[in-house]
Amino acid sequence: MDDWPTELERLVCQLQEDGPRRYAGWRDDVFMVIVCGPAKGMWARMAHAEPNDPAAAQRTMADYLRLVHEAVGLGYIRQADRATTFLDECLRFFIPFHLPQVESSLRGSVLAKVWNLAEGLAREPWLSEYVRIRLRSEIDLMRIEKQIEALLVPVLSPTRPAVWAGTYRILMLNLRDECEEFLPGEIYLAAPAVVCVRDRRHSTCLGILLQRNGATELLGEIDALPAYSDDTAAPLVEFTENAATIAGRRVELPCLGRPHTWVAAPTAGFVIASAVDSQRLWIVEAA
Amino acid sequence: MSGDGRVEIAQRRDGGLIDKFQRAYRWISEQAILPTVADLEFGPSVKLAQGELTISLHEQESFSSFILLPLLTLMTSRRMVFVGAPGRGKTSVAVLMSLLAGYPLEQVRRAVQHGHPQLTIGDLLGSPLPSDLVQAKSAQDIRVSWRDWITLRVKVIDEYNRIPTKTQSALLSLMAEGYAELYEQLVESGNSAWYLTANDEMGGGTFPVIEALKDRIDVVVRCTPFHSQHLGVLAERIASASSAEQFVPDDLIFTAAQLDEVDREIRAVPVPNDVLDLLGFFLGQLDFCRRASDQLEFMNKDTLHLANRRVAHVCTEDCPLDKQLNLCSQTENGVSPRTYQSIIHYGKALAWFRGAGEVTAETLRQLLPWTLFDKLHINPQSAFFQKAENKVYLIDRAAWIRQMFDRALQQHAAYQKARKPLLELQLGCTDLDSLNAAELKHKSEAIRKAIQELVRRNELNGPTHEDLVRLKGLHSRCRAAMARRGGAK
Repeated sequence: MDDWPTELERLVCQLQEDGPRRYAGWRDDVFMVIVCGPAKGMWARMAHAEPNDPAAAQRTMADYLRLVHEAVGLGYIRQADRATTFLDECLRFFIPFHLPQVESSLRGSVLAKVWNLAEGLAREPWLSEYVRIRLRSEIDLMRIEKQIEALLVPVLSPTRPAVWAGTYRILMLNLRDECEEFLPGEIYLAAPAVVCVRDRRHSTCLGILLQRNGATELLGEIDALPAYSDDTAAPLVEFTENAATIAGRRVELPCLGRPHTWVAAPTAGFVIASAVDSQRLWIVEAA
Repeated sequence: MSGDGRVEIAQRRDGGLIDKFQRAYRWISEQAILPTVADLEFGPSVKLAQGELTISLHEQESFSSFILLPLLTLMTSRRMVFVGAPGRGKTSVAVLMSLLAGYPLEQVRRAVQHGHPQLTIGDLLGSPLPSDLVQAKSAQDIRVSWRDWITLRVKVIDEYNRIPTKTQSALLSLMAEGYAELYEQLVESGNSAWYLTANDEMGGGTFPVIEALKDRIDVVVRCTPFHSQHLGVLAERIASASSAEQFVPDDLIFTAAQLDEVDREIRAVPVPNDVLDLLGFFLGQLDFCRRASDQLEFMNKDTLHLANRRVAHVCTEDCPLDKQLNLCSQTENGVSPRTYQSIIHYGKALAWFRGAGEVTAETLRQLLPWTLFDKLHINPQSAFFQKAENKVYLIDRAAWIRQMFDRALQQHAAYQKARKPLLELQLGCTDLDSLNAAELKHKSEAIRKAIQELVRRNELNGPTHEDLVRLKGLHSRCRAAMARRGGAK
């Protein structure tokens, strides 16, 4: 922290002292990892971008540190070594890297906007994870609201009810494409159209976004999300060798054998199954 | 954004109250008080046995009674006692509860009432203004300067068993009725949680604790001994001149409105009829004493006590009941309706805290050792305690109460088939005034037959006695309904 002005150092000490007094979940180690890492990097970039107005840079840093303090206290930033929420990712990476390029008079409002958006997403963990994965390399802080909106519209638009008595589309997703040694274990719903698949042997968890018309996609590695209980009546599903009968209609599932695990997503209109000895997922989409 | 373009963090609204209390529990047990014993254990367990030692590892989260019960007391505005040796954290936990209720530390410390042999009613409650005393022509002219602590939502009485008997009586009125009176002036204490501490497990301090005051205590919690794994924390506290009860984080503090809302939510938690039935089945047996009288209504331990006799005097080989099976032999007394209410209220609070939809038998099982701790007196002369494997219950009261409940649970399950017709009969008698004379007569006959059948098939033990009293009461209500119709013969 040698390059920090005294005022910022004093602020950090004050925030450290204040942390346990304000928040039951305060983690001083996590706070200091952000301060000594991303925050320090942000200060260096800010100083480089605006060498003639250190006061403005200091004000921005102070606002940023207070937000990091709040995020650590409230548990949005939980781990020292990696980001676990979209808000965490914003505070740890996006803001320290991109905010110094924003005009100084706009930085405060950008910080506030990013915080409010990301905290709002945090109320639906699967949404937060989805945005976190999707926006990783494409974020533009000045257009972040539009970017998030564009990402969410397709996944939040109401879908037509699934027709189980019609035709089915089969998709085989090879999870090895995402993770070399991944062997599908437990499969569960995290949202009406989001499925989490845990690795049978390791702690890895992959997310899948279920979308009609063959648009289902692998989201990638995610933090294990809380299970979601879908109240829509599920169709009757029975598996036989390399096939399933869903709502009375037979569907061929080549090479599946008998499933290892399976789950129905009745609102989205899908049945997802894994095999005992395969890295693939069999995804059946209702009409 | 503020007017000068700075980012302002808005006042945050709390999330769910259950989550807040759960976080409070975790913070206190992981950072403040550090209890090592989690003696409220839920869920199925795996038992690891080696010789005489059996260790149970439970699947669900376990809680420390030393932390959880004070929180439940705060939620329900009831009354509890901490018992244990000095220096175990009794007052610290009580102070933390006051801090959770939003009081500043200085106010809390000033408000703690310290029991000592010279404590007078005036010291405890307040005293009249001297000028009023001199000038007053009647009691109504005297104004009392009440002590501030009386109206606090959390009240802490340290070493209550050192308070003189006369002052205990003044405290009783405040605890029991919620008001105090001096010179015909009244002060109301409002909804409050009471935390009393005592150093001696039997409540025996400098003065004996009056029975009426003991009966007002809803829960007794034992302190847990310190474990050396936390020595580092103690060393850190010495280095930083800090203490366990110095503060609670702002995001754990409850407003009065939030505590009122918690109270409402807890009271709305349902207690299923079968759970109430189980509770009655268990506790009803403890009042029963077959040797107390030949008359059904007086076959209870109160009859004995009023005759200055004890259970030990009559619970001998002259009583035909099996002392190993029948719970009545184990206790010297039963419990009051006040105790039933405490159990139900704490049961609702525990179910609420765990996010359960209702009170279950397991909820009761976890709470009964603490709600009955000070209420039940062991009959040490019972043949039950003469068995080697039961002698430990003479020492470990919590384990004793739990084993009684476990036995009652088994008996209740075994007895249910036989009881089912009786319970259906009772259900059919809920609205006797809607029945005509013939129906009432039929009902009355059915009850008489049920009584005959019960007596014929079962020995007269606690559960049978409960059902006989129930049926006799139903019969009486039937006859009264018939008399109102003019149909009694």
